[in-house]
Amino acid sequence: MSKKTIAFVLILLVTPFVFWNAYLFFSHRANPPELQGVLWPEPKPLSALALIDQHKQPFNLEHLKGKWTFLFFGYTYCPDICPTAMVILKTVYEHLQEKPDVLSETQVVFVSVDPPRDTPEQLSSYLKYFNEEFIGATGTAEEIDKFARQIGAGYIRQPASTGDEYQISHTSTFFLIDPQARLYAGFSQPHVPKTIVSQYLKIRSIW
Amino acid sequence: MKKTYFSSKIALVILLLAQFAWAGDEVIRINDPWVREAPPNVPLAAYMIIENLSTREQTLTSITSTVFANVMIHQTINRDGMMQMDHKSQLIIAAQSQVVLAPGGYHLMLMGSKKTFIAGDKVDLSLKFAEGEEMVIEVPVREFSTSETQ
Repeated sequence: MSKKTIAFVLILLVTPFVFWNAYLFFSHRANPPELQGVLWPEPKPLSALALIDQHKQPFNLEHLKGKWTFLFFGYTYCPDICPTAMVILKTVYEHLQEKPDVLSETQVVFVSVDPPRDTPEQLSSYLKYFNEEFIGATGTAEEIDKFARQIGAGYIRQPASTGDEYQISHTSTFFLIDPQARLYAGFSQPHVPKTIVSQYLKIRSIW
Repeated sequence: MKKTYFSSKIALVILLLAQFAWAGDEVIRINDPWVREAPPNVPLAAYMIIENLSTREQTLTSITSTVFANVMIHQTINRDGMMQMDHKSQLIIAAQSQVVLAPGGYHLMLMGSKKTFIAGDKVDLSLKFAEGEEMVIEVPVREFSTSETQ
């Protein structure tokens, strides 16, 4: 065999190996095992939304740009799941205080699925209890619906039973929106603050 | 003087012994009850462990309070990723068994209070069971702290 043939055969054997490893490296980087089930298959750009925050100021797509947003759909009259979720988010936020540069690019937004009871004033007093920097969003039923559908966050108002005020079933996932206002990831239960923090930091590092 | 002293000691011993006799009849024991501190103007949740020490089933059917207009039993259930709060008309505790009310599961929903409670406050809850047992418990308000959520 001539040297050229040997070289050719070697290249032929080595090239697929190189490409295969490159593929593994980049796909591993894009889908690290610790982010299994957290990253969305494809970041989903969000379209316009028209809500208001707890100070009655407009809350729209622009407010989801330039920062990473932890988004939670809930309602203030929810006595069990929502307070737990808010304490988890508060704890995540507190852990991030150790990284001021990350914290300055992070916000927590609570979107109410119960506009009739969750007025801006109600949202303001509710969120202040957990963290003054948390943002609350409410609006018309149509706008909340539109936003929830975009995100894929389900919610259903349950019929009120005797002497009971109505409850609302809703997803407990913490949705992560990237600084380009794209739905990027979701943290589902069980919610462990330290795990969420490390996953969030990992997501940022590969973004 | 001596006689009075002696007889009062006997009375004390009898009383102490009697406590043990009575303890054998304890039906329901409530362990670690607590109300989670919450923002103002929202319903609260109470949690506890209800222990049935008796040899027959006990059914919690009603809870009232002097500080809440309405108390209902609820259970949080995860149905296909949707968290649902099911109202339960009663809570059955099997004989020699216990039911745990904890965040994410069973809880008592406390509604219609005029006051905002803060950690350290105490609320009263009157529990009634279908089999006849009735008890009033004093429940402390506690902050749901980060140590419980890591």
